[in-house]
Amino acid sequence: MIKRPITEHLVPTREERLGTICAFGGSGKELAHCARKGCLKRQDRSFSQSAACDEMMPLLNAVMIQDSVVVAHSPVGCSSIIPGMLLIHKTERALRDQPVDTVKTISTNFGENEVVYGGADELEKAIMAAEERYHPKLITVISSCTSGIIGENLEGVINVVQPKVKAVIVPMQCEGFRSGAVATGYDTFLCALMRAIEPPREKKKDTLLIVNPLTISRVNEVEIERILRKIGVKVQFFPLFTDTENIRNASEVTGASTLCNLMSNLFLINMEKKYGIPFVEPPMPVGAEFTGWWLRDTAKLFNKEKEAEKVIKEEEARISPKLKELKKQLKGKRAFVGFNLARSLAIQSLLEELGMETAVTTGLEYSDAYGLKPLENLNRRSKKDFTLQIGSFQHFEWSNLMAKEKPDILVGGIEYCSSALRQGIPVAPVLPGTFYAGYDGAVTFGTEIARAFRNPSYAKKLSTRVELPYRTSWYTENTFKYIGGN
Amino acid sequence: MTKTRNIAIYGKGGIGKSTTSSNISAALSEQGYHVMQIGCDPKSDSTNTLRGGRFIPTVLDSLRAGRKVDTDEIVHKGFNGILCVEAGGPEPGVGCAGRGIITAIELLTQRNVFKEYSPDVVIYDVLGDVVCGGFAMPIREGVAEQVYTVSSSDFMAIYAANNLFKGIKKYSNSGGALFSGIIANSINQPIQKEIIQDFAKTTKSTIAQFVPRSLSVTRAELQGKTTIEADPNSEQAEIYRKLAKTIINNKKKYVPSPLEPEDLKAWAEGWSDKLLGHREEASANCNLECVTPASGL
Repeated sequence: MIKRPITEHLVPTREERLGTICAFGGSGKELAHCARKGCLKRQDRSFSQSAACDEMMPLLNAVMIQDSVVVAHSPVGCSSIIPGMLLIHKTERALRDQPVDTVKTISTNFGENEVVYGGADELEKAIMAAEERYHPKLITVISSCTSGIIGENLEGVINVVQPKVKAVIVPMQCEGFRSGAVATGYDTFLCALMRAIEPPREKKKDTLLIVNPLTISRVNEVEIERILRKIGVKVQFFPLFTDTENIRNASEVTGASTLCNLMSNLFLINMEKKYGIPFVEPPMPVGAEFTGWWLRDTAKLFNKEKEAEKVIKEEEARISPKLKELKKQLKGKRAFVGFNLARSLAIQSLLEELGMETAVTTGLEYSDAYGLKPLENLNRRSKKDFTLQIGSFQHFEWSNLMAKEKPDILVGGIEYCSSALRQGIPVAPVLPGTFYAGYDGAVTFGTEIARAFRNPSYAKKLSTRVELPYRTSWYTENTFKYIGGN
Repeated sequence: MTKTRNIAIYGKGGIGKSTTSSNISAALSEQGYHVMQIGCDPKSDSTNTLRGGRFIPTVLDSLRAGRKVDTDEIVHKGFNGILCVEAGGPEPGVGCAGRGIITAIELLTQRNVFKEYSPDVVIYDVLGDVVCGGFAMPIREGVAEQVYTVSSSDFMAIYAANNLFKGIKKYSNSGGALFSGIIANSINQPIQKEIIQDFAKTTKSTIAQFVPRSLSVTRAELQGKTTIEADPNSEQAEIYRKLAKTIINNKKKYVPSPLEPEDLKAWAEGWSDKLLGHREEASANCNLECVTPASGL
């Protein structure tokens, strides 16, 4: 039995560690300017339609690990988002030739009794049930506000239960009231997984650990593997849709990079501290420029800068005629980009390479650590300034911005699509299976967007038949009237 | 010293934990140790006698202000360079003081306060008898390693000590802190000594040291000082110095055997019979040393 290292049981919040903000309304240039000047703080919303919870990301991500069971140590409602993950879970597993079963989760359904007497017994029962029912290799225990407020010693319970089960138990302490930033939950999730990582038995040569976010579909991973193969680097994706063996030996790689630098920051820092794995954190490899940026940074880990330059030159030359063709069709079209900021900025970069303009970019949160360099890069490149909104799922602001900016298309996550369609704006959604990363992804996604323009009638017809969700007066109001403590 | 010694001192409210903790801190710092004392009580007055009777801004107050807090705003230097920290907490009757202790200790760890100041000894002065998860925070794995309790021979204080033993027993199988001794406070009469010795024997625990009640402590406190600082040549100061030495040399830690409520009741009743017969004798022997501060002044 390996003695599991004690991980930091509570990660610092993003707000605390990186000065992350969850509210901003202005332009891309204003945000960069404010970031440099240090005037981003104290911008909270006085009205908020929704907010993120620390527990959300650990729950959504943990169910994606193979042979694992999630024990949600919370009132059952806290884990109600899990069934919503079935689409990604099934699609992505099928794309990876993995058995397409359902997500496995058990809730301790924390109630009055547990609040008063502590939930340790219920938690132990749930872990034992997970072990007996599913014989998993990994059990993640995801705690909640209630457990945190009463000061439960999660680590202590797990130390007692661990010898009784075969699965590795990984506690993730999530206290939703601590942070408004989605990414604090990523830190919790990834750093807790370090408990399942063991010291290296061997060192794998020229192998790159890549942190993969939930919505990077397998199709994009394949493209990244293809590009890296050309410079002689092998890839080990971590941790989603992989198994516990893959997690166990994550310490054996040569270097680490990420497909989402918003997500992976603290984990990469801790892996370097603990196992001496050097890492880079370039922006997402989407569009020629950002893919080149990503590849150059990543190649440095292996001293393969020259090889990288050669591949970049080759690949850019190869797709350039196709991009030129797409540019003709897309030139001057204005887009609304809706993702969390790391992906928004990368997709925005691709759209602009395709000759499009950015009307609005949005993100759930902003911190200089992953946002400032790509943002300043886009600011330098774009002729026109664009509107930039930061907020955790503030649909009312998105709707308002869509009405005012009247973009030609929405390129975004599924949570943005209905607001756009209701206003007759055609959409190019990013779903499980959407290919947009790297060089081939740029061409494929560009083609998708062109197709969305060819036949916008779904959006046009829908918009004449549905009512808009807010009062007419809201659509002409100042979008950001609630930001800044008014 | 290479590794920081983390020691938690628990006890019933008003029993003299803060007085004892501060005097131990002061004595240790005299002996050349770099000491940090963390008050884990919403009253926030644990370190007052190390700082001339003055309150310091608490960790939670700084956090509440909502801006980036520097460590020097929560760590304040007191007598002889002792690092003073107060966790702070809500006013009586509102909020959750237990959660406050969790938040404060998490913040200190995340800010690398212990690495930055690298004290030789950290003393957690914790309120009460481990009433909830929050007050048990200092005895969890990774915080304190050794626990002492301050107790008089008073039944309620012993009851609190017994509760602490229960808490330690609970956490002991998950790597929590272990017990190292009872600091028997305000013990002036032989009978008081006997009571607490018997409690220690019954619960398979040990007594670190007997500390008599002394007017010099009261005088020092009224000046906002520890006895070590205000009255360094007194007998009481010498007692605290000896206690500090005992604590620093005592590496023993173990799980005590708390009494179940019925056993505790039976034990107490046994003593009450003996005490009734003893009362006359006690009053006759009473000297200035056992006069309570309120009536003595």
